[in-house]
Amino acid sequence: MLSMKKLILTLLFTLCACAPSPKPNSMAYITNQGDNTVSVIDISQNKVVDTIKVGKAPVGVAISAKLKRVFISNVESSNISAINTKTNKIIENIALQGAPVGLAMAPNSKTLYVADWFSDRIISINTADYKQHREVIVTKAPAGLVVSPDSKTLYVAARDSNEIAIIDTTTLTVSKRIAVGTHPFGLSLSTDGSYLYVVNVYDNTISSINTHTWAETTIKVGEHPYCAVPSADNKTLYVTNTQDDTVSVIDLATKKIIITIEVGMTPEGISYDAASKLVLVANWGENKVSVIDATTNKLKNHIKTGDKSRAFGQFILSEQ
Amino acid sequence: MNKFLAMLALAVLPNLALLPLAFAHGPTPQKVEKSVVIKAAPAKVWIVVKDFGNLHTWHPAIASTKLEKKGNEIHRTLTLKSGGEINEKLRSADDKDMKLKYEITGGVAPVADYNSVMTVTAGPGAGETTVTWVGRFYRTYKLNPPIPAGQDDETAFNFVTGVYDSGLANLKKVLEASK
Repeated sequence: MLSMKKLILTLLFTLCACAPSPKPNSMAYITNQGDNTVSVIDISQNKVVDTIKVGKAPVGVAISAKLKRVFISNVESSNISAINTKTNKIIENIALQGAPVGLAMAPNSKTLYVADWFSDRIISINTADYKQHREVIVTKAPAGLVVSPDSKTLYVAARDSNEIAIIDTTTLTVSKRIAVGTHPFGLSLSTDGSYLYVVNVYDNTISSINTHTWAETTIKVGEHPYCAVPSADNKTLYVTNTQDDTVSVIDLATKKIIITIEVGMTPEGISYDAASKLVLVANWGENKVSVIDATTNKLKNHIKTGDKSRAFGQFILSEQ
Repeated sequence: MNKFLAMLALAVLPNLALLPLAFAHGPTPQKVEKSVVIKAAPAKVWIVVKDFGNLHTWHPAIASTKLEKKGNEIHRTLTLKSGGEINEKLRSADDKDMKLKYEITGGVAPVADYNSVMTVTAGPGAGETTVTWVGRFYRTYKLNPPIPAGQDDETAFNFVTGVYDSGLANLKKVLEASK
């Protein structure tokens, strides 16, 4: 009898879940260093729908759609703001020692990784219990972070030692180091995890690294590049050039620049929204986000954000 | 003017031990953006702004400018009236967009990883030109707090603000007097 009731309930829930739902939409969470806020952009509405007060000098962003959480690193107040994406309210400030900058969420949503700029270490935080921390010393000035699709490998850009540290996330130890260009900062992975893209700031290049063979190809981009993101089909790479105020669009098959798009001043963080095929770019120097249409590779419009927008990390939440 | 030079000297002197510029920098970049409206034609203003070897002709804190070619690169050494030198490299001088880009490569400025753009645009009024000077930089101290005095964000920010405010005010004066 009980199980019958359970079956009916399950059926009811299943039916509810099948009810017509609005078109999938994505939200972008943009950190604004200068006014200690996060601008929440509704991508389908093409505007800021909420502004969240966070800690001091926010920079990094990591998102879990599964947990309905956005994590923001506040470098000057040495903490991480955990935000509920349903309410856009801070549910907890996770206190840390040091200067948290880069953030990455494991695709299985179990672990948040934090790069502590000054202490040369990575802190891993259990997303089920924010008090559970583990840590590993990598090397000088860890910056960009990215986790493999199977959540087993963490890549760390060690900015001041010009290498990528590869970390086994089970043991939290460095399993390999790869020399790259000068001052590696932003990192991203192809959707299947086979290619790692490293932005070498002082060399004005991207290192494209095959994560099976470790073969490395270098691609020349603009002045002082910061971050890179591939399209969802892995055919195109978008790179912000902070001192040219442009985005380089690279064809990944030929490793050549197809077009260079003028964006706002000092573009930093960049993310790709698979649902809308739009690329969003945070412009630190001009307090706005540039929206690029990835189907035409043309600048679509700008959205005004807060003071000194950075958005370092994967900052787009796609509804599941 | 004297106040600016005093401030400049104060900002610069405690940092002499730091030379050359720290390679690494802190995690939070700083920005200063200043502009001035000058009653002169844009082309006339641009000729003065883009003249990388003659900053001392309009900037009141600079005693002399030495221009040097290093391969394909153009560098300048600024000697400050308050003492000390600042080394800078020209990134580009774009006549079409009237945009000058340069960076600091060494010297006594209490900033790290400094790069700057000066832009000349027509307007807002007829016969007027706007000069905008934007800098992005970090403090010189690159380790965990406590941050020593003279190597902090405030020192870096005040230094650049002083350079831009006094420079733009005098650029206006020089150009408007030379009609």
